[in-house]
Amino acid sequence: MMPHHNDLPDPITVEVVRNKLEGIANEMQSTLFRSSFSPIVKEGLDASASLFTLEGETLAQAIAIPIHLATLIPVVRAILDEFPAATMVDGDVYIMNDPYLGGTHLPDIALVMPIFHDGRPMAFSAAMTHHQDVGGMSPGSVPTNATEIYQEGIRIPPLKFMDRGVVNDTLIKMLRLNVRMPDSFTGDLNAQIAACEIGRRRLGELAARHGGATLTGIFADLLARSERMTREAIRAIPDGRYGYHDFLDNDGIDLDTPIRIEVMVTITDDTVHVDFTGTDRQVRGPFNCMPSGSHAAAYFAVHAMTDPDIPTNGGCFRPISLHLPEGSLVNPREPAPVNARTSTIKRISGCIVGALGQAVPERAPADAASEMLLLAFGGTRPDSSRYVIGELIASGSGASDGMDGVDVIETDGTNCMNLPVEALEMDAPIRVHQTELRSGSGGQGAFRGGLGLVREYEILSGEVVFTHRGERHAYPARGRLGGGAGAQARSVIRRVDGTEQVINSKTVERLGPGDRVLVETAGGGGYGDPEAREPQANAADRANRKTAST
Amino acid sequence: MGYRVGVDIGGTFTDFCVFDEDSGALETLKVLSRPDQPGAEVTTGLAEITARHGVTPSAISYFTHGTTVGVNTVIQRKGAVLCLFTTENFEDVLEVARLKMPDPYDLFSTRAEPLVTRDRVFGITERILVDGSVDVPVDEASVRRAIDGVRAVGGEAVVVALLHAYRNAEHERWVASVIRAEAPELDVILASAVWPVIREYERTVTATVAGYVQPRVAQYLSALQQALSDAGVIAEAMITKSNGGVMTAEIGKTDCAQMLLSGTASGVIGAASIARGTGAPAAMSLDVGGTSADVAIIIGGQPQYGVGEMIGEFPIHIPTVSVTSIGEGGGSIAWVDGHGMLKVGPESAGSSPGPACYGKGGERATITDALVVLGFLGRAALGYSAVEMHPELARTAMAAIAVQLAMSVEAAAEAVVRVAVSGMYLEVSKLVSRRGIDPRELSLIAFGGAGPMLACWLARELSMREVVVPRVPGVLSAFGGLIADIKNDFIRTIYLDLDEAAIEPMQQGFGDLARQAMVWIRDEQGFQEDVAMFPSADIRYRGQSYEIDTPLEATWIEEGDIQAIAGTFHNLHEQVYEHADRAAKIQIINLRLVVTGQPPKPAFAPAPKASGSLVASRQVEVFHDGELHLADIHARVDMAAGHRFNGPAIITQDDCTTCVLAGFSGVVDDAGNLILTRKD
Repeated sequence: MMPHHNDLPDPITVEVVRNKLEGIANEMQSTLFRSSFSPIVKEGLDASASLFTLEGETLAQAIAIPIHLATLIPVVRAILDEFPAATMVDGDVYIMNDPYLGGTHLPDIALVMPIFHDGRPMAFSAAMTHHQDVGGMSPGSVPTNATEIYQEGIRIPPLKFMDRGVVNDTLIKMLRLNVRMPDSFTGDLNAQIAACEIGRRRLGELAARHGGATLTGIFADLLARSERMTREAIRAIPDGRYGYHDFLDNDGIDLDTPIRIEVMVTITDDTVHVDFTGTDRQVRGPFNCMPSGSHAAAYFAVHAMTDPDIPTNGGCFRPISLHLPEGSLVNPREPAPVNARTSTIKRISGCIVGALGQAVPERAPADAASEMLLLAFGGTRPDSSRYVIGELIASGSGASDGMDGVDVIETDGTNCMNLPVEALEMDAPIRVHQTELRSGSGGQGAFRGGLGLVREYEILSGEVVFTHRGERHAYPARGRLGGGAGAQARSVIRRVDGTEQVINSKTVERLGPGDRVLVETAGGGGYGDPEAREPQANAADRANRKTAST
Repeated sequence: MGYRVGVDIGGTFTDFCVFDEDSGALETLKVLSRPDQPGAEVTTGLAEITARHGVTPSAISYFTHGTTVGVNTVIQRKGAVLCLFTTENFEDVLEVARLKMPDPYDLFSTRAEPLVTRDRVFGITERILVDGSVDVPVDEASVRRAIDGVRAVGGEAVVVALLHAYRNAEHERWVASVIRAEAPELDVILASAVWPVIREYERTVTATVAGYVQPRVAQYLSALQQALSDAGVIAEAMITKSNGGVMTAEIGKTDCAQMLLSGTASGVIGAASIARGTGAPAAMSLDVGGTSADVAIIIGGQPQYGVGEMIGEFPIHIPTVSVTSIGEGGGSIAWVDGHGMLKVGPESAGSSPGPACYGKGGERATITDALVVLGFLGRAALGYSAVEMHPELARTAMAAIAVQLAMSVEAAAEAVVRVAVSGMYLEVSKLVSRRGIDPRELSLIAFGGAGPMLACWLARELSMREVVVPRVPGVLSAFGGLIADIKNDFIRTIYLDLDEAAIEPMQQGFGDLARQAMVWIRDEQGFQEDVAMFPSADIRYRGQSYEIDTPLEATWIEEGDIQAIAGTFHNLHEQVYEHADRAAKIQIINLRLVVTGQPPKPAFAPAPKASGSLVASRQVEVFHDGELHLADIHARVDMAAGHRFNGPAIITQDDCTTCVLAGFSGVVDDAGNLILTRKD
């Protein structure tokens, strides 16, 4: 029982306002999705909307993919450093994307709008969109072979995008000249403004109903409540130091050099500290991860390992601190390239889950393969029109206490969809010969790891430039508590002349008619002693061809 | 002349709506459902109607009904032992699904176990190419091996779903003929016949849901036909469809995919007809029963349609009236979490034991109990006296919550309603913002046993100005079935750039669809009156992976007017996504055709006109917004067109209670609807 005091907003109003704030964030995000041009937003849901307190803490957020969790925090901070709230005026909008000042990677452009009530700033609404192109060395602005950030596109420091409702034309002209698709670029910025505007209007209505002071009191209460709940959940984890490490195959440039990610997670009473000492130095290729991404990974992992039902806001993040060694993979120095950091974020969150799993094994699955294999085929149709087909393929998730891993599924903070065979064959002269679960690829254990996928493509006509960006070719997803590792990923090109070539996880190759590509994605780790697996489960696995029949 | 009867069989109650074609009068009835003995509730209800209103079964000229048997079969996993034949090397289409995780924040999030497990999927050696040509003909030996496999696992039915069969179904039919020859005992469902649309996962999962429910649905429909025949009903039984139309129950036995959301869709059809009557340009239906609360958007009197609606844990990709669940229902249980926060749902007391006030053993406070404590309910019997009210039990249950919140019992009861409604607000706001609709412009049409109880609260939360309560709110789904059209959808994938070369395939495709539509409505439905056809097409910009269903004029197709088609698509794209690219290449993916036939529509007698002002039968105390109010009680039967009243008020009728809060004023319109308007 917890009686409330008269000087605090009553808990019922707090709950009602919380639902309202979440509703506003959702409405902002729907506006963003609906009116964006970028296919990455429409199909990969790569955009997010949030409300922030004046102090720069997240109040409510609508995010379809968890790697966006908290990524706007350093952006809002950077803008507040440059433009203190007291100097802001109703109708202002601020913009930035620079990773080295708090951003993520260059295509993610953030807009931040102060919300005023009774002439004073009360909160911020913010929207971030993955733009289709922000210039740089290659279309789409995610060059896998970049070696410095200048190749990745245009960098925008914290700037005023609108001043008292008037758009900064100088800036717009400058930006438009630096991107490949200026119309869709400004269209997406307009969608972001529309989303921020929804937040401004709806929060204004809420303030009119409850009063500005009461409302900001409720904001503080909501943050304090989530903080309290998170601290309680952390307190339930035994104090101690828990280490874990894992590897990315390579950085796409130095193909024979694996990249080590190491974390030491320290639980002290109700706090979590994550120390990345031991993680490799920054790399030449674009897999470096800015602190914004390292934080997002840590927040996601802790949130998922404590209680995902705790209302997500800045309060959840207060008990969490990070040590990110300067010049390392997780806190690179300028001008390291950063565009491909998603793989890194996924692996960091996997490491933190792995570390915490030693403290509370029942709450941590074994390693997920967390391989998001990206394939791209670029070529010419028989009618000489050009095509580029991009395809994402998932891998197996880790088994956990009481549950086998899930086959071919998105894990660790991203959530995309694959391409139907029938649509792929419509769009390009490529035939798919096989799409099947990869039998036997899940790590053994009392609970079995999830399976990877086997898919085989044949080029039917023309010369094709084939891009392959995978992971787990060199390092498997490990099991937990005696569970076995998942199978490593493997990809082979079978040339029309009969030669076979096992390819590296990151490569660009040329293919011709009759050439085939066979990809096998990695399996998830197993959980617990394989000997302890229920005989029925083994029988079902054989019947369902989940394990290789021997 | 005779009687038209609409029936909606729900989990708790079976609702009846009876229309007298001579007098134009509309009668209603609720009886308890009999999931144990399908058809029995219909027999009971018909006997009751005979006793109350003198309707003899042989005088029934038209009989429609909606049922949840399909969706319940999926939720309870009580369907067929189903097998699946796919193209060899693509057996895992259901397991691979589309990668997405249901809850990306939950490390233990998992996919639903497919309705067909991997040991019951068999590959067929064959391959059709993207243009419909045959690369590898069907290897009959592989079919026979698959049939042996089916027998080994005790399969009862087989879904055949082969690659590119939306374009060329020859191989699926070939496989089916082999199965029928070798294993005539097996039911065979062809995915290309269920819904022949491109994208193998979507087509296959839709067909497996249909195949999974088929034996139960067929058995159920046969039992119902028998019960009706035994009762002396001569009229052919019709069944309401997910697309808001009706078809014969006989066809429903094999075309199960079409009736999965039978009852929910017809409620929206009922609400849409109310919206057309009041002239509301945009409305939201609010259907709250004991265990669920559903909303649907109605624009210009028309329901909105979607694909990918969920049946239990599985999407079906045939056109369906879009209905969104926004929470539990009147039976949702209130509780206080470890942090002293009040929560409502998702646990529900359902119909058994039901809310505490039903006196059937429920001890935990529900939304219904909260409304009893607030004084709005418990003033009259509910559900045709099927349930006796015990206000003191509601109070006892609510007191337990009040203690934990350190509040008065009344304040706690109001808190329960506010928290429940704010949760509904959250879900509604997602729905309307996805569609770019301002909720303040919507008229809220409330029905279901608990909809009119909560409508004013939700309208306030969403800043809606108007609430409409139909004459028969408790049985609106049954009413919707009475007025629904005979209706079916047809689709053909063509996947072409929209240019001159597309004209001929488009004309030919629509010609084929029109022929299929006529066979369906004339031969299969036996409908001989005038029919209407509505062509449309799924169109997108090249490179997009989502389409917009674009309505087409028949003349555009006949004259090959691709400019008009493209223009309509650009406009729609602009409307939905706030931008259009008039220079971009356009692709036409699917042709669609909807055929409808209108059975003679009931001509309802107008509501009686008021002669004098409405006088409350009595006044009682109600509690809301933190204080006591005196509320008028009105019996709905005493209310006539033109009657005006002010909130707070309680309006009682056989099938539900309407709670009118202070700040709302009401009037009875010419059709007999209650129109509640928010002041300020």
